[in-house]
Order: sequence, then C-alpha cells, then structure tokens
Amino acid sequence: MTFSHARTPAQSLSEYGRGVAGGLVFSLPLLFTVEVWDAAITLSPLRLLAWLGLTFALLLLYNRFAGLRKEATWLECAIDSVEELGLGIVISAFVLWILGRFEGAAFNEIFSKTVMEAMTVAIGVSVGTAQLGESENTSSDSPGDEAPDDESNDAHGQNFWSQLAITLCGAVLFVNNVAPTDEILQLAVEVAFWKLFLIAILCLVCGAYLLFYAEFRGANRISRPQNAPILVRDAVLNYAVALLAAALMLFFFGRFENESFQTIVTQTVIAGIPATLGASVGRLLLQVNSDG
Amino acid sequence: MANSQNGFGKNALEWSVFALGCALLCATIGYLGVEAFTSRDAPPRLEISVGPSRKLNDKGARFLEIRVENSGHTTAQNVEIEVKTPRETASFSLDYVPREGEKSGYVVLSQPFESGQLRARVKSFTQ
Repeated sequence: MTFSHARTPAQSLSEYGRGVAGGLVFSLPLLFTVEVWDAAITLSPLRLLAWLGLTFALLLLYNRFAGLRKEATWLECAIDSVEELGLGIVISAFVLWILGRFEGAAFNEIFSKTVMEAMTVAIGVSVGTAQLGESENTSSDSPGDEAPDDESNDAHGQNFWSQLAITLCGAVLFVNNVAPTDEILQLAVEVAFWKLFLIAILCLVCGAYLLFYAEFRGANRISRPQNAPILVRDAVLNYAVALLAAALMLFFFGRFENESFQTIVTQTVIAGIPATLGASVGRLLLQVNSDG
Repeated sequence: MANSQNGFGKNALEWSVFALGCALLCATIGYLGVEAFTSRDAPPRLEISVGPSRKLNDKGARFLEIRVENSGHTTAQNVEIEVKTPRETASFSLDYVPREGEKSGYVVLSQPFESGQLRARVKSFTQ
C-alpha cells in the first residue's frame, strides 16, 4: 500500500481539527433545519443507504480531483473518504444531541437523523480540510506507483472528467442547503411558467459568464471556449450538471414524493439556481487550493 | 504502516480514525441494510394511551398526556388526535409519529369528567 504523504500525529490532529471546523461551517445551516430532521424520519432505509452511497462517491471524486493531495491514489482517497464519513457521523450525533434533537426519541429516529445530517457534515469535513488547510509539500520522490492518469485530456490540457466531477461536487455543496426546505416547493407551485423559463435561461447564461468571463480566482484553470459552439456546449453541460445535482438532492430529501411530473420539473428548475452557482463559482472555489 | 522505501504512510492516529470510520460505516450500512430488508411497505399502526389527568389551573381545567405509538413500518405524518368527553371535545396534531416509535401531546379539558367517559382516537393521518 503506497501513500502520498507522511505526517506526525500533531499534524494529523491539526488537519482533523480543520476538517471538523469545515464540517461545521459548511453544514451548520442544515443542522438547524427542521425539514432535514423530518426528512430523516420519513425516508425509507433504502433511500438513506442510497444517500450514504452517493455521499461516499462524491467524497471520493472530490478527494481525488480537488483534494489537498494531488498525488493521492484512489485507495488513499477511499481511506480519506471513510475517515470523513466517520467524522461526519460523530460530529452530527454530537451537535444533534447537544441541541436536544434526541430528547424522547426512539433509537430509529436518533439513528436516521444522525445519518441524514452526517452526510452533509462529511462533505463539509472534506471541503474544509482541503480549503482551509495549507497545500501539502509532497516530496519529489513520491511513491513509485503514482495516481494513474487514465482520463483523456482535451486540446487545452484540461481533464474533462475531473472538471465534471468537481462541477458536480460544487453544485451539490450549494444546493444541499436549500433542497430540503419547504420554500422550494412553494416557489415551484407559485412562480409562473414564463418566469421559470426565464430562470432557466438566466442560469444558463450566468453560469457561463461566471465560469468563463468573470475572471474569478481559479478561473485560469478553466479554458475559455474559443468559439460559439464550444461555449454553448460548455454552458449547457455546466447547467445540465447543476440540474442533475438539484434533482438528486431533491430526490434524496424526499421532495419528489407524491408530486406530479410538472412539480418535479419546476422544483428542479428552482433548486437549479443555487446549484448553478455551485457548479460555476463553487467549482472555481473548490479548486483554488488544489494543484489538479 | 509506512512505505518501506520512502517513509510515507499513515500514523497511528490516522489509522485509528480510519478504524473508527470503518466501524461506524459498517454499523450504519448493516443497520440500514437490515431495516431495508426486513421492513415492509405496510401502513402505520397507531395506538393511543391516555395518561392520568392533572390540574392545570384554579378554574378547574385539567390536562392529560396522550401517547401515540406507531408499531408499523411507515412513519405517520400530520396525525390528528381527538379526545371526547360527554361535555366537550379537544384535539391536537403531531407532525409525525415515526415508525416503531411514539410521540405524545396534551389536551386541556375545562369541564369535569369521569375517567370512564373519556374517548381518545386517531382522527386522521397522512403517509
């Protein structure tokens, strides 16, 4: 088994501290959201299992493509992901307990709430560790079997699949905070259809602008499209990933239960607003400290 | 455990955290797996129990705790409870009663009543 780093226990403890801080920073809104507590109780065990699986996959992708250590292998990223999930469970259990969310509750309820919240906390731990820490100083003689570079590169040298993964992570991170709330459904049923259409167009355009023309820090990693067809392709792809993230989060928080197809679509468009911000601006933020 | 050639590797603390994460993850997956495998898509089973009445104020009002237990495999939501005596009717609602769990609420009755005259029932719920 090969690793890309060597740290003292003190350094590790410091990194875990940053992870815990990051976990709280990024997940605190959801830890205080009643809709998430209620969703935990109403969702089936199978849905919670799927939510756990999706979170692990997101952590794996984020650690591999935007994490602190660019030389980390997939196995090392998987180990980190397990650590982050474990920390997420411990942190969410402690916060919910100290907020009195377990008072008079059966074990089933305590367990479901903890697992539901732990996934978001785990994502926060991963992002916090990478974003709040200093870049790793890895040795030039890193392990012989380096992380395999098996993804194809486009003409600009950007890794398509890694960017797609980071886009998804950024979108999930942002939409996670609003997807479980009742306001999404309320907006979806109240907003006129022509305004929803306008929202979709604006998200498409703004996402492209923020990504390619606003010149945020980290935007140098993203190649500006050289012609209109490529611009349209990248803008549509960015928005498509945002909508996918929005739909996934709404589904996992049970917001599609017993709803018509029309309401499902309109909820996805509404939740697509923060998801688009996450897919564009969030994607740039997630890569600021990475050397990927 | 470190690489033999260059000293890279995880220290004892990191392996401990990983072991804790593994244990918690395995326990979580195991419990959810068992729940998913054994639970049926059956409706909630709600049963009511009434606690003793207690004095609320000096005007003769009394309050009682009403416990609602759900022994079914599905959470009951928006549960409406109705309590009747010969002289008055009171009600309250619960946002949810989780599967294999219970919740309680209180009703206030201002008119005197005999214990055998009180009737409590689940009026409605959603899934």
